[in-house]
Amino acid sequence: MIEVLEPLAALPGVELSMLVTPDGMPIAVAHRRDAVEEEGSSALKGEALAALAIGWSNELRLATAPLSWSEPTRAVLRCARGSIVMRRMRGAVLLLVLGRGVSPEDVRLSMDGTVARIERSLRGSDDRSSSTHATSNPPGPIPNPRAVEPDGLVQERTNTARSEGLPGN
Amino acid sequence: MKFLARILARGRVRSARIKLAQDPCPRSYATLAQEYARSRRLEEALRVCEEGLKAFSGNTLLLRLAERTRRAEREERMTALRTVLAEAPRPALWSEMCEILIELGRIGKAEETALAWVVKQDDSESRLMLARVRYSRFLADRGRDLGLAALSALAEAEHRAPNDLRPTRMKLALLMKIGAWRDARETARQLLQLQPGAPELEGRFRSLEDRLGEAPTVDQALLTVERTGRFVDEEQGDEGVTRTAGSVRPILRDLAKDVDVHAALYVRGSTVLIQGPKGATAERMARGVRSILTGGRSTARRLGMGQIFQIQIEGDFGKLWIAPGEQDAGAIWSRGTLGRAREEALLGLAGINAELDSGEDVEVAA
Repeated sequence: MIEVLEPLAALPGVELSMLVTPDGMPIAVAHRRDAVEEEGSSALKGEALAALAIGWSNELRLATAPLSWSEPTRAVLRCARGSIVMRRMRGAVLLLVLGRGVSPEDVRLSMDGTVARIERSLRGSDDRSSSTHATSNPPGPIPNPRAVEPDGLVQERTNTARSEGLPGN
Repeated sequence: MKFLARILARGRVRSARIKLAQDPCPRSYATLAQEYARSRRLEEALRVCEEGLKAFSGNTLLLRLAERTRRAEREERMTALRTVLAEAPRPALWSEMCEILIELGRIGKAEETALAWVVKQDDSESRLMLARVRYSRFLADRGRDLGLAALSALAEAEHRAPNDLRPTRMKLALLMKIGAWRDARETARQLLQLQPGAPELEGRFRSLEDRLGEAPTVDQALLTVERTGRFVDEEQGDEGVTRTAGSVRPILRDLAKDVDVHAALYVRGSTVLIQGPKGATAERMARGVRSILTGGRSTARRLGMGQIFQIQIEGDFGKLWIAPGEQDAGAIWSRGTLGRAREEALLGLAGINAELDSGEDVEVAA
């Protein structure tokens, strides 16, 4: 995931890019190259930042809910010492910290592109995992009566005991 | 890596160059500059921006791009400096590093670097740089403790180099900014002793003599700056003019007249003036915007990001822009983009500090 975030962190004026779970836990963090060397305790800062930013995002959700507004997809907080830009996506939030004098509009396209890329990769893995579930026929105490064979054909497993009319069935 | 990036970007740069030759517009200049920047040819990127700015003077896109490229250049230089400083530190390199960090607005890091320099070579230059960094920090944050720290660093720098005018001049500038006239006059007198007959200093000394009547102490002056957030030489804005809700309503009406604007709001304290929605919807809207504003302010404070300039949220509902001032804020909820004219109007609303004495929480501006 970090290789998807690194190009964002390499954009001029971007201090940090981060993918955060909706409950405020960082999934992946990419710092500007020289920032990693400078700030030794960046991991802690990242966690605190993620928690505070998601806290604000939750506040936004609560504030807009009475207006019957859906959850905001993009939120920007522009301040004297930089900006925070958040972009909501499926199951996560993409967060960028911008330096002073950088407009959040400058990173809009790159953020949208990154979100699309992450969502595409997630969709791909979902498809793969669902196809794996479909073809596998794990051994279990009760065999699946409509098991799907690897070739995709559904094979009807008849209850041999019943068909052969054995006693006790 | 840089070389590889250049090779990979060669084709893109060529096509951007051809496009610029065919259609010399700001967008084409920006595209070429961006391609150069992407292949880490920052000097060329800056040259293209400057060329574009000569042809399209004041173009926002090119101005912003030039600023970002300069910033990237400084960051690149900083990375190189850091490597050299680790191997063979020299005073000129420490000084350049601190200067770049101050220019980039990374005052905390500049202070760390200056302190590292003081630890390595405790000389007058390192002390002066530390004083300069602390002075810059005070100018940015305006806290009383920061002011005292800057003055103490300046005193130390003066002590190390008694014949150097720079720390004393810096001290005079600081004292003038906070309005500590008595101490400023004393500092001007010190400077005149070092530089007798300097006309500018003599003029300043005489003007300070006239202000001694209402001169606060350094501590009082620092406290005032901390409380108001303003230096004495900064404009007082429109404080003398008391604005009322009547002066805000026409601006709100003007903002809300476009078809894509759902609502325009002015928030001050617990009162909200709203143009657009009516009745319960207006009340809900006012409460929502107030809550977003409060949350944004507290988040910015907790993150240590300084004064808040803008909050923007987007979703299926459209876009909501909030431009907060120190005590009030303007907001627009619309479907489309904000646009230059609306942005200016919104920024004009923030900081008006209008007296909203209707006694109601939400006042629908009819």
